[in-house]
Amino acid sequence: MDVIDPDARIADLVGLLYVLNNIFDGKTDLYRLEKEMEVDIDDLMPIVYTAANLNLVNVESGDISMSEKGIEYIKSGMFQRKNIIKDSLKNIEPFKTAISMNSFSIDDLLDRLKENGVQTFNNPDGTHNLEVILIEWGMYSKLLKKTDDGFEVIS
Amino acid sequence: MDANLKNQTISTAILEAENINFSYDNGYKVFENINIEANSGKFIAIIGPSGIGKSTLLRLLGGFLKPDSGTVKLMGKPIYEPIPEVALIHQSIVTFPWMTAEENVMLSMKTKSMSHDEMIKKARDSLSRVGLDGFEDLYPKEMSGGMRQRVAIARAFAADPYVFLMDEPFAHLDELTAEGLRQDIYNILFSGETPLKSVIMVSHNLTEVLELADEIYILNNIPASVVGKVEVAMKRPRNPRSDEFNSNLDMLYGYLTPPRKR
Repeated sequence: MDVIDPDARIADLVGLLYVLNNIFDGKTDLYRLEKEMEVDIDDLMPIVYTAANLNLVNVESGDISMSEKGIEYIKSGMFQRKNIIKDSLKNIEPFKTAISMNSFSIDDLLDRLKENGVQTFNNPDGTHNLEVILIEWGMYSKLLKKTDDGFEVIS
Repeated sequence: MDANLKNQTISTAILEAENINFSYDNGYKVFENINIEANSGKFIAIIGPSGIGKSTLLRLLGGFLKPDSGTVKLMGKPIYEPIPEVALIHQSIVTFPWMTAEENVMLSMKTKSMSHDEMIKKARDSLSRVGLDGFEDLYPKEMSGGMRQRVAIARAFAADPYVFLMDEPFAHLDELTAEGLRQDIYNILFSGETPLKSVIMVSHNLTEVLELADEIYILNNIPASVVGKVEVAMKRPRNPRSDEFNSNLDMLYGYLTPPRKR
């Protein structure tokens, strides 16, 4: 079953990649990362899962390491970083469904995600959370632009 | 896998969840076939990523929510609603500001056929047990966060529960207070002076979990299921800075990776 992702902020993701790359030379145990970043699993794991789902890190058996794409991200300038995120988002929800709709309102996207069997948010703030993800990740990466009624995919 | 962590052997359960399935009203499936056992004398911890449903699971175990299928049993008998034998301690410190510490604790005895004097004696015993001798007449605003959480725990004790369900009980305390309270809690819980037989705690703080727990259930995936269950055999008190402790932390993270199945 697909789920809504990413479940973290871009700044957190970049922070994780910087710490992993610069302090741990690209590979470490998650518990060491937790201590270095002074977070607990509620804070750390959403960032780790997001980084893994975007193929920026590899995680297995409590270890985390930079992927080739992650290393490329860290070494790139702002423009290329956005392209890397944009490319990765195309393969995960809600962006996969959003791309298929081209132009949509939040409510329409939410309905389509449910129709497609995508596990959506489980709380009353779900619609707002979805909008935040679309704005933060979709607009940051220039995959989406805002319209009066919702969003439009940038071709 | 660390030598101190091994698969748990089956023994008689005080509280057990059998094949629990649960969905929210909007159809979001939260749990799939959850099985948990809390045996006598054991401190159980449940961990998992944010939003996995840890608090919801505690509410199911306490009878506050009804599973779609499956059963929660206390000493072999199914429970369908909250009962005094299973006490829930919330992460937000719940004390009533217009009541003294003693009156807050006496609340949990209101449904019992006890005289007022008996209730006062029991309330004072419970407060004494959590280290609040001499603070009976203080109001919550006159107490620190740690003291108020102790009042909440004393109130739960006064109901003579068999099982404590603790939902992030140290989350709203500063680290120094939490560390002190954690050290006290384990000794208080299993002092043998109360009917308490087992504790189930959910927490997002793995260090806290490893300091306290005898057994740890790890939830992951969507819907959530138990992806691992380990017994922690480190001697107490446990030193969070030791190599052995870090080895156990590493192992717990191993259960949380790779990312959720999708």
